[in-house]
Amino acid sequence: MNAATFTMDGLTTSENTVRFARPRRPRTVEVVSDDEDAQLMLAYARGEIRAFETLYARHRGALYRYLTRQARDGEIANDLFQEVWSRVIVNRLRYEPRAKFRTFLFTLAHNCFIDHCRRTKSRPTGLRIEDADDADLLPAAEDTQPDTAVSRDETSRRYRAALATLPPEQRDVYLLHEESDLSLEEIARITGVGAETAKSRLRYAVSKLKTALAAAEA
Amino acid sequence: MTGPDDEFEEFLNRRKPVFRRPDDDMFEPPAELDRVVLRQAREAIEPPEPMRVFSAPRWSMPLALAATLLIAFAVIFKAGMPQDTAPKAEVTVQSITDRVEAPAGDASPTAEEAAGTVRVEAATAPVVAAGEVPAWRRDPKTWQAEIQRLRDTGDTARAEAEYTEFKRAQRAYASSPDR
Repeated sequence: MNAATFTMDGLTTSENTVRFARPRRPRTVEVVSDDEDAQLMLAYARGEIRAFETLYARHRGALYRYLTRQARDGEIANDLFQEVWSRVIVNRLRYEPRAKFRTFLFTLAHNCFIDHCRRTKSRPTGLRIEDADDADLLPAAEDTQPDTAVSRDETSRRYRAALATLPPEQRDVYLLHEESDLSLEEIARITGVGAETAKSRLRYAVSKLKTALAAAEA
Repeated sequence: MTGPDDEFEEFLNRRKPVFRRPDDDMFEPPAELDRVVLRQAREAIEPPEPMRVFSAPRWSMPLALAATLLIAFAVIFKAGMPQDTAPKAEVTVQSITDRVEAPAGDASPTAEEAAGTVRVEAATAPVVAAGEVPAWRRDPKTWQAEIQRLRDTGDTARAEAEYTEFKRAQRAYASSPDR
């Protein structure tokens, strides 16, 4: 198994619990056949739980990162994560592999987040850079080397702070691009805008992040 | 020299990062969340359990049978017993009259009095002998006619005694439970 295909190798099944091993670096979105994902989803709809476990193992990390950075709250991200997978499970019989499963999954995630904002009557907003640290509740990474851990924590903190300052539309497009590895056309379809608009938002987001991180490092 | 557009295109094509991303970018959902999602997925495809009908415990059948037999024997035994068919004394003018004419001296309450019959004390002496019920006492009209006849003949003492007895009988009749 190569590093780019995160499949059931990281999954061990006991009686009632399934544990996922933390995948190794590099953080590369796994490249799997979309046909394979679709086939797994269809197999799950036929009643094969193993197919769902594989599907879940492939996409859980990316989906969780997307939701956590969107919501900027661990509890809300957990709720949304569970809700997205619940929708996948409920809609398994209606699923048709007309698009990538990943597109289907992140469309559900995007809609769940929008629904959450409507329920709480809050519009996703960008933060000021000085407020971003307090708003970030993302879990820290485990590391055994103190110096390395401090460095990584600082880099991570700056990154999250810069991300939190982005306007919500730009952050949405950027996170979809980073976590879902979907094309701009697919991201545009998920967010309900044209491809050029999505590209423009992504360009602004990347530019702002680059500037913010450069300023922080300086 | 590459401009911003080229840099962005390279970023889009994932050939070149435009900024340093954090290394600790690998946080994942908690294990509890994994368990919840996978359990939900497993339960969703499990065949529905057959409709549970009420299943009584194993000892309920002999218990029900024994209770049924017990009740059945009790009903049969009760039905086979001789019933107390003695008719209750009917409270009529005649019965009251008979009671009034009964010999005095027993002032203690009886069971009949407890049952609602009115005991008329025989304080006044009966005009007729005990055990005899004159025919004219069986009808108030003939009784009153007899009283009037006694008065007319000058036997006022008997007439008054008979009249007193007549009034008692009437009161007893008026207060009897049959009314």
